[in-house]
Order: sequence, then C-alpha cells, then structure tokens
Amino acid sequence: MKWIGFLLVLAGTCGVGFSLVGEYTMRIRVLSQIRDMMHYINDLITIEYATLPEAFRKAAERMEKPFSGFLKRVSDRMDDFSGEDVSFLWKHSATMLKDVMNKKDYQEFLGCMKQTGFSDAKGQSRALKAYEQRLELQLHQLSEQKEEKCKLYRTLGIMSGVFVCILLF
Amino acid sequence: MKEKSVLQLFPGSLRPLFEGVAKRCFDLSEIRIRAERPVMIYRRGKEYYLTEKGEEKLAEANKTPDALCLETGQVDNLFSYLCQYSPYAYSEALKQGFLTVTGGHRVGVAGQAIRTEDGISGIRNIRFLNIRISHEIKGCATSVLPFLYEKETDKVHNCLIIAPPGMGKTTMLRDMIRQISDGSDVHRGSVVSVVDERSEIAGCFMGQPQNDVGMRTDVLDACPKAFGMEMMLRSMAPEVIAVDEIAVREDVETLLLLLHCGIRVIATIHGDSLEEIMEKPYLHPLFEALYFKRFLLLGERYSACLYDEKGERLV
Repeated sequence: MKWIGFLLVLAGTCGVGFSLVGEYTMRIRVLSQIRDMMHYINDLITIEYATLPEAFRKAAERMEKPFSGFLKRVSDRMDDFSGEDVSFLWKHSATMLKDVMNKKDYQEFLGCMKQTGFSDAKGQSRALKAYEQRLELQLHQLSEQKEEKCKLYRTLGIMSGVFVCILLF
Repeated sequence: MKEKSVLQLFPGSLRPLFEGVAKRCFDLSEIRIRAERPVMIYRRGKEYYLTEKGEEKLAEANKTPDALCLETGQVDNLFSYLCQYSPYAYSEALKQGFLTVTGGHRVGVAGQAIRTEDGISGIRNIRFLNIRISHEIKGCATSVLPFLYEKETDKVHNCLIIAPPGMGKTTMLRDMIRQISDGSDVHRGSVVSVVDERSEIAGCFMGQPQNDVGMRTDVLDACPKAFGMEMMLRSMAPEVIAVDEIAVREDVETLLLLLHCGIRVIATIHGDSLEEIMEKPYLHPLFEALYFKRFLLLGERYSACLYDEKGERLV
C-alpha cells in the first residue's frame, strides 16, 4: 500500500512537470501562429493595400483554428458595418482565444489593434510591425530557453516526487 | 435595404441620432457633416438641420438653436469608420476628395490638403464630410429605350445624354446600362463595359457594384476615362462602352478610337442644350463624323427629350 502511495505521488509530481513542459511548448506554438498571422496581415496591407477587414479575411484563409475563426469573425463584423470600432471587435472576438493563450500574451494581443486609422499603409504597417517584433523577440527568448526550462520542469517534477516520497518514508 | 445601408454609414454611438434620417431615405440626397457645426440634411432641394434628438427641422438662415453639432473627434471617428479603419486603402480616392462606401454612397471629404511636389497627396484633419446618397431609379430609361436600338441590327445607337448638374444624367445612364445589359423580350442583352472614374455609375465598394448595372456589365472602377476605355476595349470585348461626364479632349480622342472600332458608346456630358454642346470646340470631331445618332436632353424630374442626329425630336 505504501509503495502504491509513493508511486502515485511520483506520478503526480512528474505529471505536473511534464504538463509545464507541454504548456511551454504550446505557448511557443501559439505565439508563432500569432506572429505568422500578423506577418500575413502586414504583407496584405503593404503589398496589396488591403483594408483591415480584407486583410483579416485573407489571412484567415491561411491560418489554422482557432485563429482562422477569430479573424473571420472580426472581418465579417467589419464588412457588415456593425457600428463597432475595430479595437472593440478585436477584443470582443478574442474571447474565443482566451483558452489557448497565456494571460500575459492575451493582454498584449488585445491591445495590438489600438493603433489604426493611418492614412498611409507604411504607418499602419509600422504600428502592427511593432507588435510583430515584440512577438519575435519573445519567441527568440522562449526558444533559446526551451531546452533548459523543459529540462528544469521535468527534473523538478521527478525530484520533488522523490523528495516527498523520502519525507513520507 | 436602402434604410439599412444609410444607417450603416454611422458608428453605433451615432446611429440613434440618424435613425429618423435613414427611415426617410427615399428622398434623401445629402447629409453634410462639419465638425462643431450643425449637421445638415438635404431633401428635394430643401435644407434641414438635425436636432440633438435626431429630429429634422427646416433650416432658416443661421437659426439652428437645438442643432446637433458633432465634435472633432466624432467626425474623425466617423471618417475612420467609413474607411473601415483603413484610410490608407482609400488614399487614391481621397486624393480626388471622395470615397465610395457600402451601398454605393459617396462621401466627399475636406480638411487639410497634404501638398507635395506632384500635387495633392492626400487630405488630413478631415473635418467636413458630404455624404451623397446613391439613388437607383429602375425604369427611368424605359420610355427612351425603344429609340436607342437600330431596327435592322438590334444594336444600340451611340447616345449622348446632356443635362446640367443634378438633373439625373448618371441615374439615367445607369438605368440604360442595366436595361441594355439585361436585354428584354424585344432586344437581346449586350455586353457593356463601364468605365466608372468617380464610382458614381456602379457605385463600386471594394470593386463590387452596389448598384444594379445589369448581368452582362463589366465595371472598371476609379480609372481615368480615356485610359480605362482603351483598357476595356482591349480586355473585355465590349459591344457597348458607357462613361460619365466627357469633359476633356483626351476623352473625346479615345471615344473616336472606340467609334472607329465599331464599339457603341453611351456617354453623358454637362450642358443645357444641344446647341451649347455642338459649340464646344473639343467635341467638334465627334459631331462632324455624325457618330452620335441619339441625343437625350434631361430636365427637371427626369423629364427627357430624345433627338436624332438630324435634330428631330423622337420622345
């Protein structure tokens, strides 16, 4: 019975460690998707002079779920001239992304459409590019630390389990 | 449908104030918005101002006691909203001082011009908006249409629509295009190309016509007429080309090219009478060759007089 208990404690702490690794990897994946999405949108604005809803709609075709659905929802509402401004629509529709994003990343994502209404495409692109660059930097840091952090989470998970077992023994 | 398209022109915060205006959109011609000044509404040549409660009152000189005045920020926001928060995408249209929005309505803008060596590169600090409501009057060309076809070939005659500003030249042209394109029990439908330099005929929004211009009509939007007519001739193999407001020599030269190629042309021109038009030197080449077989003169309330090339009245 005692050994079964030890095994369960060890499995639990290891599970926590591995789930942290999973979260870390997932965060990198989500942030890369957002970076790609912003990149598409930026290209459509600077190369095709697409309006924001047009850029969102076209980018939605290239993105995976749930970002495709998010972009489509924003562009549809804008094309319908629903009366709300783009920042509100962005924030409102982003609730569907809440579960896939880290809290800090989510807050930053909500604010990235605050600066719109530029009369030249370069100005609009620069405003979006600033967010894209922040994402790039963040991704760079996360990727650099990935191996180290994942190793740490796994080791901590196993070691804390072993430690608790020793204490209980 | 029209009511919705008028209401859609305003962001949510302003919609309750413009609900009444939109409900009576059938005779609405313009909504003029100036920052910190009363919002003015124009219907059937009469001028009204909008109150803070969203009611319309007849404007008398400078007496507008309870007028709704939009703040600078509200005008800014309205303009951004009309551009879908993407003014950069409308920069070419804004250089001309207008943009076409959903529903085919045109928004004239004024503010501070940005001057460069090449001329005006845009407008900033937009404080004045003139929303011109697009009206389609389907069937207004029906009475003249039978006289526009050649009996032997069932082809359309070259036709020039003449009228002073505001008499419905574009509305008449649009309905002619629609009916010629769709055809009828009597006449077959023709392939029509429209060169819509100021987005007034088809009222394109994002390239999509907002007005009914017929099932066989191709539209080249926001393109200079002379250049656009040549492009359409090369690319779309039209039977008829329609353009609004022939005004300069280059337009006439391109029209002559089309007519030499056997393309039929329907065009409009500013003027009070046929005589006045004939006297314009840059139009002489068109009349000398007797290319135009029909001249449609428009008066008040779409009253129309149609003449043939000999000056005989047909309608």
